[in-house]
Amino acid sequence: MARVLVVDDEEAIVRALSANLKARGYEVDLAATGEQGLDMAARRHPDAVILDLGLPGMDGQEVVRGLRGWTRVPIIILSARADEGEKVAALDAGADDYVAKPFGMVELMARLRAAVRRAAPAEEQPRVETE
Amino acid sequence: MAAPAGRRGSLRIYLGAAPGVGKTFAMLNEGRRRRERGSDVVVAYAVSHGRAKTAEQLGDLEVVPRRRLVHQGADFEEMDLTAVLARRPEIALVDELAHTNVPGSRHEKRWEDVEALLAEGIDVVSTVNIQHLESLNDVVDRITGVRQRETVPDHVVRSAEQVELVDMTPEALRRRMAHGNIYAPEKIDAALGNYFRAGNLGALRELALLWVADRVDDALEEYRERHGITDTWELRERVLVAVTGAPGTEHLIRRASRIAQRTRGEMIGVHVTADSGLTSAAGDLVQAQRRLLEELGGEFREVVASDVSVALIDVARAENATQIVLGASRRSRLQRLTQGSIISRVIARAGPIDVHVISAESTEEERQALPLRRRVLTPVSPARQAWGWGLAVAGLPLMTLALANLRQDVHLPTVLLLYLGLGMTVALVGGAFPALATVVGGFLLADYYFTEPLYDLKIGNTEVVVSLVVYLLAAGLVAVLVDRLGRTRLQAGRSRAEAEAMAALAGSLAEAEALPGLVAHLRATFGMRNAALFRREHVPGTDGRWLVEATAGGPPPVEPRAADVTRDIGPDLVLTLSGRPLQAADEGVLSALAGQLATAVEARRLQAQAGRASELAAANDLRGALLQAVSHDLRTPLAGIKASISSLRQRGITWTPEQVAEFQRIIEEETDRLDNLVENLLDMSRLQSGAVRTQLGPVTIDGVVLTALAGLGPRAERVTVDVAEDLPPVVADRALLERVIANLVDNALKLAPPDTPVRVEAGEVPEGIDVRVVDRGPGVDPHDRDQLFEPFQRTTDHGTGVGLGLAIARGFLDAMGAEIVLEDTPGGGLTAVVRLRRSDQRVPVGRR
Repeated sequence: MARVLVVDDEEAIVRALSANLKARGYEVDLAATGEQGLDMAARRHPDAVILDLGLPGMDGQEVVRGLRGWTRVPIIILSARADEGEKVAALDAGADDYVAKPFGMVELMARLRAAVRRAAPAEEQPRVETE
Repeated sequence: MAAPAGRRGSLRIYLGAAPGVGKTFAMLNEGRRRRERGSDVVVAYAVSHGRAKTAEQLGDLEVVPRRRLVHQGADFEEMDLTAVLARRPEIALVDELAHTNVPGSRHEKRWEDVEALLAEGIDVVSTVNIQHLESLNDVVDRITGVRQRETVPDHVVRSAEQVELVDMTPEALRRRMAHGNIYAPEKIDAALGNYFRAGNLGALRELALLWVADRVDDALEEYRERHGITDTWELRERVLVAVTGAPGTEHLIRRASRIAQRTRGEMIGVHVTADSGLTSAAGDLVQAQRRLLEELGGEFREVVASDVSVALIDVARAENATQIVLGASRRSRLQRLTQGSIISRVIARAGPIDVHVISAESTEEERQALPLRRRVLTPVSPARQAWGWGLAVAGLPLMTLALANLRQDVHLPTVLLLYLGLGMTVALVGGAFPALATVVGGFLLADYYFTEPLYDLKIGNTEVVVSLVVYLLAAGLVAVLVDRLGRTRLQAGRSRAEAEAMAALAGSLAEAEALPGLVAHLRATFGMRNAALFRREHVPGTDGRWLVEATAGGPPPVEPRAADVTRDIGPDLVLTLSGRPLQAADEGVLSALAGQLATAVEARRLQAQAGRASELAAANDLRGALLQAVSHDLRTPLAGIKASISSLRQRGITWTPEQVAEFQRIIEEETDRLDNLVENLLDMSRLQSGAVRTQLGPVTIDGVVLTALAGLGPRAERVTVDVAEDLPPVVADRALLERVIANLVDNALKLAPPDTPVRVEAGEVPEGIDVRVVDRGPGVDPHDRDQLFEPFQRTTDHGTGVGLGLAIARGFLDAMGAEIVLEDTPGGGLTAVVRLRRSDQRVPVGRR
C-alpha cells in the first residue's frame, strides 16, 4: 500500500487529509514541523509527500531541498499564499506540484494519484542482475 | 534566664511599606540570632501567611501556644498574654503590632498587650506596616483607596528603641508576587492586584522612608498636593531676579533659586536693556547668566525700558512676583546721589512685593573690573532738563554780576564768549530749550549791561550789533546742534536695544520654542497685560469664529477687536496685545517681531504637514501588512472548510458517523474562526479610518462577558467566569466591549495550552472596575508586551497567530476612554486587565 507523509501544522487540514487518505487505503504519516518531516521521511520512506509551505521553524523550501538531497519522492506543495514568486521557487527547488489553499479534496487526491503514478515506473523497472 | 525586674523592656520594630516585604521574616531572623547569642527568646505571636521562607525561619523557636477564643460562633486565635507574662522570657517576638484583638481579650489592641509586656521588663520585637500608623491613615487611604481599620498610635512606634525599615523596591515586590511567594494565585483578585500596582507600592515605600526619616510634615504637603489638594498659589513664592550682566549676578541667581525652592516656587530673571544706551557689561555675560538661570529652572525675560527700576516693578507686577532680588548697588556714592539708587527706587515702588538686597561677593577681579559708567547725557530726561534750567536761571545773574564788577577789565567779546560758554554748558546738561533760553538771556543781558548805551536795550555801535547778532546765531546753532547730537545718540541706543530684543526672539524661534513661550516673550517685551494669538475658524455662512491659539499673562480679550494692539500674522492668524496702547517708537519693533512670528508659525505648519505625510506612509505600510496577512489568515480557515466539505461530498467513500461528525465540527470551528477574523478586520479598518463611533452607556459586566463567550463557539467552553452579579455597571459601549472581551479571551485560548484553565473575572477597585482575563500559558516577556498591541507584528504565517486581537482591544478601549494593561499571572501566564469606569463615578479631573 502506498504511504503518504503529510507535513502541515494546521489541525483541520491534517485531520481532513488523514481521514481521506486512510479512506482511500493509503498509509499515513504525520509531521507538524519541517524537521519532523525530514526525520519521518528518512525513517518511513513514503511514496509521496504532501508539504505545507507555511511551517513554523524550518521553511517549506528548505524541506524540499532537504528531501531532494537524497530522494526523488514526489512532493506536492500546499500553500495559502498566492505569491507567484513562492510557487516558482518551490517548484524550482524540486517540488512536483503546487496546490493552493483552499483546495477541493477530490482534486488533491487526483493529483496525488498522478504524482505517484509518475514515480512508479522508475521503481517497476526490471532489475537486471548480473553475475 | 528571666528578665530583670524593675526596668522597662525595650521595643524594636520592623517597619514595612507593604505586605510581603519581609518583616515577619526579619523579626524571626533576629529572634534566632539573639537566641544563638544566648538570649531567651520566645515567639509570642507570629504568622507565616503560608510563605515558605517565613515558616522556615520559625523553625525550632519556642512558641508560646496561642489562646483560643470563640466569638460569634467562629474560632479565633490570639496571643496568650497571660502565658507569655508567666513565662517571663528575655525577648518576645510579637507579629503585627496593629492587630485588633478579638473581643474577650484583655486589651483591645495588640500594642496594648505589648505595652504590658514592656512594663514587665520583657524586650519585644515587633512588626508593623506603614499604613497602620494613625497619623498617615488619611494619606494612605488616598494613595491606595483602602481605608485602614487597624491603626497604631504614632507615639508607640516612635517610642521604640529601634525602628528598622524593611525595604524592598516595588519591582522586587511585584516579582515576589508574580512568583506566588506572597499570596497563592487563587487569592489574588482584582482588589489585591490593584493594591500591588507599582504606583501604589512606590508611593507607600516613599511614605515609609520619609516617616522613618522624620520628614513627614513637609513631605506630607507634597503628598496632599499630589492627591488633589492644590495650594493657593499666594503661598508659593515667585521670585524675580534682576539679571544685569554684571559679575556677581550668578550669586544672585543662585540665591534667588534657593529662595524659590524653599516653597517650590518659581524664579524669573529679567534683563532690562536701557534705551538710553546705558550699558552695564558685555552681552556675553548676560547670556551666560541666562543659561544659569534656565538651568536652575527659571524663566528669562528681556525688556526694553528707559528706567530700570520702573521696568523691574512693571515686570514684577505683570508676573505676579512675590519677591524681587537685587544685588547691592555697585555705584559710587556720587553716582547714587546724582542718578539715584535703583534699589531705593525699587523699594519705594515695590508695594506689597518683598525686595531682597543681596550683597554680592566681590572677587579680586571684580574689584578691578567694576564697570565704568559712561555718562551719556540724554537731553530728554526730565531730570536733566531741570538741572539745565536751574543752571540757566542761577548762572546768568551770577555771571552778570561778576562780570559787571569787572567791567573795567572785561569787554564785550569776552562777555559774549562767557555767555556762550554758559549756554554750551546748559546745552550739555539740559538740552536745547534751556540752552536757547540761556543764549537769548545772555544776549539781552549783554545788551543791557555791557553795551553802550548802558542799562538800555538800544545799541549804538554797528559793530556791536554785528557781534551781538553773530553771538545769537552762533550760540543758538550750538545749542540746537548739541541737542540734536544727544537725540541721535538716543536713537542709536534705542535701535541697538531693539536689535538686541529681536535677536533674542530670533534665538528663541530658532530653538523651536513652543508658541506659548513666544507669546509670553512678546508680552514681556512690550510690558503688556496680555498677549494672545487668535486663529480664525471658518464657519460657513458667517465671518468666522475667533479661537485663542495661545495666550500669556492675564485673561485674553474676547476677540481681536477688543485688544489694544493687533497684527496679522498669517491668513487666519492675528496677534493681539492688551494693556496699553503701543508707543509709536515700538511700532517698528512689533512689526519686525510679528514678521518673525509669522515665519515661525508657517514653519510649524509645514512641520506638521511633514509629520502627517510620514503618518500616511506608515498607514500605507500597515495596509500592505494587512493585505499580506489577510491572504493567509482568510485562506487558512477556508481551506479547512473546503477540505472538510469536499471530503463529505465526494462520491465513492462512505464515512463513519464519527468521521462525519468530525468533519462537521471542523467546518463549524473554522467558520467561527473565519467569522471572528472578518469581524476583526472590519474593526481594524474602522479604527484605522477613525470611524469608530461609540455609544456609551451603563453596561453590566456579566452580560457582556457571557455574550462575548457565546460568540466564540465551542472553544470557549473551557473558560471559567467569575463575575459577581451585583457588580455595579460600567460606562462603556456594549458592542465594542463585547469585541474587546472576545478578543482577549480568544488570545488567551490561543496562548494557553489546551489543558490549562482560562478565567475571566471582574472586581471593583478604587478607580472603577477591573476585568481580568487570566491564562496560565507561557506568559509574555515584559519587553515584548508593548509589541503585542501592534497589529500584524508577526512576519511568518505559521500558526494561528495573535495578529489583530490586542490591537483592536486597545483601539476600542481608547475610544471608550478606558485602558488595558498586561500583567504576569502569579505562577506563570499572562493576565490582561481592562479598567473601566463605574457608571456612577465622576471622571477625576487632572488625572493622567
